[in-house]
Amino acid sequence: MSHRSRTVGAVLLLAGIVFLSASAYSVLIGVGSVAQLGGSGQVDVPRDGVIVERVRLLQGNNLNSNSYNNIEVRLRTTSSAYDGPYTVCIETNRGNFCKTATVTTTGATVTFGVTGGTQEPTVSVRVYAAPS
Amino acid sequence: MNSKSILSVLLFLAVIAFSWFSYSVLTPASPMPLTSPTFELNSNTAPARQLYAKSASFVLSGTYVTQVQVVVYNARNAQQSAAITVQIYDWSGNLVSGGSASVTVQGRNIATASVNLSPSVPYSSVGRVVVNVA
Repeated sequence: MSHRSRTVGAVLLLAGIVFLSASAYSVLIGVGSVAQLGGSGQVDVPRDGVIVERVRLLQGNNLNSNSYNNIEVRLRTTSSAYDGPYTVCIETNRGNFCKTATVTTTGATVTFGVTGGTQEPTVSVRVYAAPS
Repeated sequence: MNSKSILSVLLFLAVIAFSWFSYSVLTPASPMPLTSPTFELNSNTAPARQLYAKSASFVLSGTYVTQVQVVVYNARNAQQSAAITVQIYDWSGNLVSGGSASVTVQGRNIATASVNLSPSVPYSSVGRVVVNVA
């Protein structure tokens, strides 16, 4: 093997290792930001970029009842940079639901119709959203 | 070009292919959701109490949650007092904040209690908010 061939081989190998390292680093950074910030993967929205301000259990439009057939969620963005359409989903005792809504700094209210009935001793509502 | 040079080129191409494969597999194909806190509303549905937690609202100062406002419904005909406790858990399940308050609720009516959190917590660290009405 000539000196020139060895040099070419070493350069190519080094370039490959650098490329691999850069790729692995970018992947790790990307995964890290998703895990830590809740970023969308497409738009870097931090976890506190969209705030769920309120959850209400409504009978029709009323709180004044021991039953509910609507779950209302109020969200807002913390910066206009994060304004836009989001798919808002809830996981609850009475099923899982999603709706698309435009969320802005002034807020958005999303109401999910659920099966009616007397309120359970424990009602758990997990809310999540993703840019859509 | 001798066989070792060809081997080097093949190795280089294999490294690139592996890098691209790793990137394709590990990078999410669709947007990841923004995970938000779970709200857990615990009511006292015992016949003697019939107090229901109907709503929980965060009050923020900047990006810190300082207070949780809780709406309580009293399903009995008579007025009664409701004790409200709020617990805030982080994403690892650790209790990081909380508070309590009490409110008088008229029969067949609602009342709002404001529970100040101590300490206030960054919204981004709130994994679960548990409201107990007793």
